[in-house]
Order: sequence, then structure tokens, then C-alpha cells
Amino acid sequence: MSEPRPIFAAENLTLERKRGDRPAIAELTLGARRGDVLTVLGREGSGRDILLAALLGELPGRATKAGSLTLGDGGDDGPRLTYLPGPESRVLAPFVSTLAQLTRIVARTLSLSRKEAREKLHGALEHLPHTPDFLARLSRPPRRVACRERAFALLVTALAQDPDAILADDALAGLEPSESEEMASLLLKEQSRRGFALVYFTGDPVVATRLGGRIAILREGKLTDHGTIEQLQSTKSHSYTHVLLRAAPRLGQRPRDARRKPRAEPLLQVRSFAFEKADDPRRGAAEGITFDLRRGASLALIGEHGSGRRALIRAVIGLEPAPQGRIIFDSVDIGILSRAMLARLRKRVGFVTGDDRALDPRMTVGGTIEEPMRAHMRLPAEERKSAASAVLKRVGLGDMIARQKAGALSALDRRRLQIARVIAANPQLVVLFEPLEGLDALGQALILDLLCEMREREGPALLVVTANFAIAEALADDALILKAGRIVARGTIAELVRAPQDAYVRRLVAAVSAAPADGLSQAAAQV
Amino acid sequence: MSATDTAAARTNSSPLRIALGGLGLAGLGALGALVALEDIAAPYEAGMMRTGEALAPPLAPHAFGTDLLGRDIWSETVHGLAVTMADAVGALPIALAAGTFAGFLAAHMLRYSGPLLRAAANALIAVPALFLAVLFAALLGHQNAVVAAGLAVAPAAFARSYDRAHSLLASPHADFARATGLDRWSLFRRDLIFELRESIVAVAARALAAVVILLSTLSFFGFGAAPPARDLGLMIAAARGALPEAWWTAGFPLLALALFILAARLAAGLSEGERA
Repeated sequence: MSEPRPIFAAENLTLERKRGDRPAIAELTLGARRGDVLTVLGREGSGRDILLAALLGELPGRATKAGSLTLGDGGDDGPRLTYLPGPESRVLAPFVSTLAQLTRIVARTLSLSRKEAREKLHGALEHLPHTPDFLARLSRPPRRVACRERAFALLVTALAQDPDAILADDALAGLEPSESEEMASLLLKEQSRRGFALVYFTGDPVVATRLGGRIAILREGKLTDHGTIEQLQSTKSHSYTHVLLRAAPRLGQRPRDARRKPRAEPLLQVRSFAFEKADDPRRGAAEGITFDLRRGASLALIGEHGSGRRALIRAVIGLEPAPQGRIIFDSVDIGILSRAMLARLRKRVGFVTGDDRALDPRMTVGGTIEEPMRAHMRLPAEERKSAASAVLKRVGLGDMIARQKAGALSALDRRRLQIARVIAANPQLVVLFEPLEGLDALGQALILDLLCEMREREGPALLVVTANFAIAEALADDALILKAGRIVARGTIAELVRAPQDAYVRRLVAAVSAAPADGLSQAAAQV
Repeated sequence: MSATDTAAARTNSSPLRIALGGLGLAGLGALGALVALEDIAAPYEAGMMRTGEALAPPLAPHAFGTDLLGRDIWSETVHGLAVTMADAVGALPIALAAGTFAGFLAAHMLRYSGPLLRAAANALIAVPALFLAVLFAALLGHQNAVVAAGLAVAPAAFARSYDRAHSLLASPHADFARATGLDRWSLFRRDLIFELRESIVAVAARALAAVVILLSTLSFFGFGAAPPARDLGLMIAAARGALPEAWWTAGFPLLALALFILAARLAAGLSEGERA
């Protein structure tokens, strides 16, 4: 068998965003052939975006290029490179029919009529599992198509263009774990069936491991390491590689032996909570959600977007009344409390969320930390100040920035600030709502460390709301798996991971397992 | 930060906007200084007649001419401006307290009656502010025209600040604060402090512009300032008869009034067509 056709070959490629800038890509030598799976792994600012632009032939006008970048074997008839963006990217116009836009993309790249392009899309769809009305539902504008379906539609579009290579720009970002797992296996299956090259640009090492194949690690424009995941995990690889690959939370990463089993009083009791009133005749009596959380214990509510996790949490902290069932916090049924009493109760609750808008951008960093102290505790201003600066140091934010506005901080620093605020208020219950969302791998590792440390030192009861089993495992002992408003599984996390009974749980676990999923990646590597 | 936020921030902080706002503030300052130095700036006392020939045109010997009774227009305009400004400054706290502050407070504290008050404000906004002012002046008596003007401006100010507070309360960070047990008063204090710091000058200037227009119009119609103390509105009303042959009698008070309102509107950052 002859060598597969080359897709691209970069030799000593140097790219500058603007003449005279520090090179965004420096002396890069990298290539891919048909059938390859190559992940370009690098954080923001590593130059992966400009490398992708160069491959697509869309370098910004002021950028300069040195060295060589050959597409195909250098002949006139180059390989067809197809761009696959993520579902959250804004490649599609928000108010126009999705299907029409996707058809136009296919029609333009293959110089087909609209009708032929539509048939191409149908053809690509045939090999993928889908519901019969999928294309019909795509006639809605992109903002009204679910994230998973948007990702799927973009994948179909890329496949319909008969690519020699798919250049994926973090195409799985923004998907929930089980969706991401599903999409990754589809992508790999099609890749090995059709034999195109998959070049995946991402900052997420979990995805890189999941895809298998080769990984090229970019750091500040330089290729620091390059090889299969096994080679990269060996001791010979670059230290940065180890840091990066170990950074993202993954199952079995933080084994903590002999967890103390708290035998204390229950702090939070949820009894037959349901999202609709049970007397709704169409539904019949749902059994509802029931669980206990003891003082100092920690429980994970594992559920994806749309599982009802947000509504449950809002009811638990008394922001909205529970439609059905009782919520008992510290032996008090919060359903009967006045607003003022509820607010007083919530002083004992801390909150860390993945939503970066949670902090008032107008407040200073110091003010953000002191606010709950001022509202909840009677402390002299001096003590408040010193306590605030102590917590700031603990989460790794310097004392100097206490006077800066919270809105001026980076996403990582804002997350740190949220944690500092929680620590300062010393709550009995801390709700962590997707605490690592929107951070890159190294940031996730830092925040997870901080949260674990808080758990060890302050010992509040934790309620971890996440879709990611690895985060749940690192922070909690027991878990409830929520799906569409119901509990589909419960038990200790160790058990759930070891022997998941439910297919849904299996998928969630697989999404964050350390090993690349069975078979597929090997098959991909052999082609 | 959403696209609209950044767009708003951009227009608010564009160099031209900042320059115009500064110009407005400088204008207000200059007019204020003129009024503060009233006794030095105006060569004649208020209402002093026969300072020269009646209806003398501008330039010599009176730079701005004289009116029917031989009063020096320049001195009269300065004195009128002083009365108008004093009245406006008196009406401003009423508009700010009954409008802006009350709206902020209602949005934060009144869960059920707040929306009702907001709806009532909407109903009042539907009535032209001038009618409201006339109504209040009739109810409260002419000596209280200042209060009437302040109250007439209040509904619009109430609605604006209620809506602003409401959107702040619906923001993710307010939600987050509530989730961690901050009570209504803490949130109120926090939002109030930031709003004061950010926009009090613009809000006050906006109310000032509205109040000046109302006060002058009230006086023009005879509901406002009572002779012998004359404000700009009354001066313009008195000059009506002589206007065809002696434009300067009404022209210069009008110019002063226009400058005052223009400066206030610029300081408030209002654009053309936007109601004060």
C-alpha cells in the first residue's frame, strides 16, 4: 500500500499576526496525511487559531508568513479541507433557516445547485443515526435549534462536502458530556469509514485523549511535544505536556482514601420534590426527588442541561418555591418561611457558579469579599479588611488587586474571587453549580484544587451540581443522577463509576474516562 | 458582556460625547458663576426703570438695549436668570426625591405596590408635563410653582429609575447576591451607591433641563414667578407687545434661557429629540 495522500505539511512555518509582532507560530514543522487523526492542543494564545486560519487560507491581511506550508502534494489539485466549527460559534446567521444556510455552504464549496446540495446533505445523513424529521426541524433559525442538534447539523454539513480533511475548531465545545461523547464517536466512526484526515484544534486535553491519534502540543507558538497519547504520557515527554494532560479533571485522578463518613444530623432534606404539581391529571403522581445531605457531607447532583438541576437548586436555596414536595434546611421547612426569614437562612449558604456574570462588575475585589461579611457578621472594619486580604492570598489573588473592579478580572480570577467570597462568609452549605465551566484545563485544575482545599479546611456540606463525573468524584462522595427531572440512578460515586447500571450513566462516565474509548481510536489509527 | 452592552458603553464613552458633556457642564458652571456674581455683572438693580431711553436698540449706550420702561436688558436678563436658576435649583431636589429616588426605592422594596406605582407613573407620563405642572400649580397655589414643576417632572424620573433598578435586580449578579443571603437593604445600598457614583450628574442635569422648561413656561403663562421678581419666562411674556419693533427685548432673555437648557441637556448627555 502506498503512502496515503498528504493533506498538509508545514516546514519551519512562522506566522506573525502583524509584521514585527512576536511570532504567533514559530518554526513549526507538522504534517498530516489522509486517514490521520491529529489534535492540535494548546491554550488560548498558543497560536492554534492562527494555524487553523493559515490552513484554511484565511490569514488576516496584516499577517506575515515565513517557511513553507504545503497543502496536498503541492500540485494544483489540492485536498478539500472542510471547516467544522463548534455549535456555540457564530458561523451561522441567527435569524435565518439553519437548513438553508447549511445547504448554501455545501452548494458553494462543491459548486452544486441548491437541490443537489440538499441531496448531498441527505446522503451524508444516511450513515448517521438520526430521527426522520431531523432536516425538517433544521428549518428553524440556529438560535432555536438545540446545541446538540446544531453540532450534529454542522457535522453533517462537513461530511456532505466530501472532505479530504476536516479541520475542526473545538467542534465539541459547549456540548454536555454525553452529547460530546456521542458526537466524538460519530466523528471518529465516519473518519475511519471514509478515511479523511481529522485535524482537531482544541484547548481541552480530555477531548484530545478521547479522539486518540496524534497530539501536537502548542505552547506560545512552539510545538513543544508531538506524538500519540501513550508517547506523551511517558516520562520522556516535555514537562508542560504532563502539566497540561493532567490538568483537566478526569476520573480516578484524585483518589482520596478513607473518606470520613459523617454521622452528623442532616442539614438539608429534600422530600418528594417535583417540578409540577402532583395533581396535574395528565402526569399522574411522580415519585419526586428525595435526598438527605448531612452536615459536612457532600453530594453531587449529576445532570446535564435541561435535567431540572437549576430549578431544583433555586428551590433548595429558597429563591423560588417548590411546586411540589418539601425542602427542610436545618430542621426548618423553608416552604413556610417569609422572605426575610429565607434571606436570613441563606446567609448560611455559599454559592460558586460557572456563570461569570455572578459578580457585580462594578464592585471592587475587596468589596466583593467583604460584602457577605458585612451583611452576615458583626465585625469591626479592621478585622473585615484583614480577613479579606487573608482569603485573597489563600485563593491566589494578590493583596494589590483588592481595589480593582471585579469586572476587570479574568475568568479564572473571577472564579477565584467567588471562592474567596464563599470562604469569607463561612457557610454551612456550599452549592457548586458547574464550578469549572468556561475555564481552560489549567484553570480547571487550579479551581478544583481550591475547592478541595476548602472542603478539607472549612468542612461545609457540599452540593455539587455538574454534568461532569470527574468533578463530582473529586468533590463528592455520593451522587444522584438527574435526567429530565427524575433520578435515574443514585449511590456512591465510586460504585457508579465502577459498575454503572444505567446506559445514561455509562455514557456520562465514558465522557470523562482517562482512557480513549475502546476500539474506535485504534481503528482510526490503522487506516 | 453582551454586544448591546459594549455598544452602549462605546457610545457613552466616545470622545465626542465626553467633550459635549464637558461643554454642558462648563456652560452650567459659567451661567452659575454669572448668577453668583449677579451684583457685579449687572450694572443696574433688578427692575430699575429709566436707565436710559425706552426701547433703545443694542450696542451704545446699553450693550443689549433697553425695554419699554427703559430697563437695561442685560441687567434684567442676569437678574431673571438668577431667579430662574434659584427656582430650578429649588425644584430639582423635589424631582429627584419624588422621582428618581422614589423609583429606585419602590423597585427594591415594594414587591406588589411597586408595579402599581410604576403603572400610575406611566399614566401620568401620558399627560404632557406642562399640563401636570399647571394642574399642580393651580392646586398648590402660585407661590408653589417651584414645587409644582418639581412634581410634574417626577413621574418620568420615577419611571426611568424604577426601570433601571428593575433591570439591575434582574441581573445575574443580583440573583447571585440573593442566593448568598444578601437582604433587600444590602442590595439597595449597593445599587444606589453605584448608580449615584455613575450617573447622578447626568440624572440631575436631565431633571434640571426639564424643570427649567416647565418653570419658564409656567411663568410665561402667569402661573409662576410673581412680579416684581421677574424670571426669564416672565420677561419674555412682558416683552411680547414690543417684540415686532424691538426684538432685543425678548431675544436676549430667550437666548439666556436657551443657553441654560442647552447646557443642562448637554451635561445630561441627551441626544436630539430625546425628552428631558
